Amino acid sequence: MSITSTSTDQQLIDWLISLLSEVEDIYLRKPFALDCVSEQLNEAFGIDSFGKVNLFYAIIDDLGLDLPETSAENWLTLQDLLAFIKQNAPGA
Amino acid sequence: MTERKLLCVGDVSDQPFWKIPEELIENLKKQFSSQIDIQVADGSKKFMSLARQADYIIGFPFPANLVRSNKKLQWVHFLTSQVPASWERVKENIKVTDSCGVNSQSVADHGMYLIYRALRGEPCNKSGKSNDAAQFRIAHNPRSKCLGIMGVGAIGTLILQRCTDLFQQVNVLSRTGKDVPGTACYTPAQLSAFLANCDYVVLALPLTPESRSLFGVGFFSSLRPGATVINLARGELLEEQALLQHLKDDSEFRYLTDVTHPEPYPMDGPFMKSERVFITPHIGGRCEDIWEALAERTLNYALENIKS
Repeated sequence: MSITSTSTDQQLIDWLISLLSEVEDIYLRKPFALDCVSEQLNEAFGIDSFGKVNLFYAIIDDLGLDLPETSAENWLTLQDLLAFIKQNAPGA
Repeated sequence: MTERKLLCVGDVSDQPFWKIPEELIENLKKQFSSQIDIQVADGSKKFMSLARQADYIIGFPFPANLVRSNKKLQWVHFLTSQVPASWERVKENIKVTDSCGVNSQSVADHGMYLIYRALRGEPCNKSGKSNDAAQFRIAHNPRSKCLGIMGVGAIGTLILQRCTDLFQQVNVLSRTGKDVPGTACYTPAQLSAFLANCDYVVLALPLTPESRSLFGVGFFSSLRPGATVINLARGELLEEQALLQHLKDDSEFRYLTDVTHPEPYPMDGPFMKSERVFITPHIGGRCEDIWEALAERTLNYALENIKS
């Protein structure tokens, strides 16, 4: 499964779900879904600050990027995460 | 002049009981401060910063990715039984130790508390404050029930020892299907048959991709009607939505757990409303003398692994 900067939110979510199924030590409290993009990564999905760093590396490794961890500092909601992926996906 | 090595002690728990005792930190300083620098990180942000520069880390679980930029790291010691799965990949380069077995007795004691609570018919968060006997469920007779234990490590073995004479039958499921005398032994491939024979199922296995794969839809559909599941392992093993669905599908199903995802479990979370779910806030490993045992284990490993 691959994504580009023009992928829809649903395609990005599907890609994330597929990615997370292969990443160790990230467990979601509930699955990512289009109807909860405004929900908080920590409270709604159970991704704490350590989990956020882990998720960051999973994403940049898969996209073949070299970015500083500070890029993830402002992720609060699933929407923030999708925006980051869109900005850095191939074609951006 | 050579740079002094750094030990980072990650004191990041927000639960007062799991704050690293001053005595342990003082002992580490007494033992090693002439050779190395020791810094205590008392919050996640500080820990993330210090852990990336440290030669040694003592603390609570964190994913290996957190220190992937740290090329100096030599030793990591976890103050918990389980090492996060991501550390499996880096074990060749970095020595990783843990506190496995230190709190097994306490967790097994807590497991017995949950088992008895379920047997006596009180599997929910509303404690029995009524003086009306009709408000209490009728107790189960364990001598006519079968208990299944998933995972026969230190905790599973202790539960097994304590339950052999209590239940009519005890079955175990382990990764290797190893033979445990006096029980019927199953492998993960025989999960459906194992579950179909058990009235009570205790989860005492580590969280790994392999163990998590056991808890898909097939897990719930294979449970006996009216089964009780007791989770001493990790909240992440069972998906909240799947559990909620099974509580709807089977009106007698009960779930008692010491672990949730996230922790602490939100007071307005859906499990809190259920009459058939009982949650304790990950207190199984808490015991009055647990820090003494953790400190002893930590110091022993530190003596083995810290070199100036």
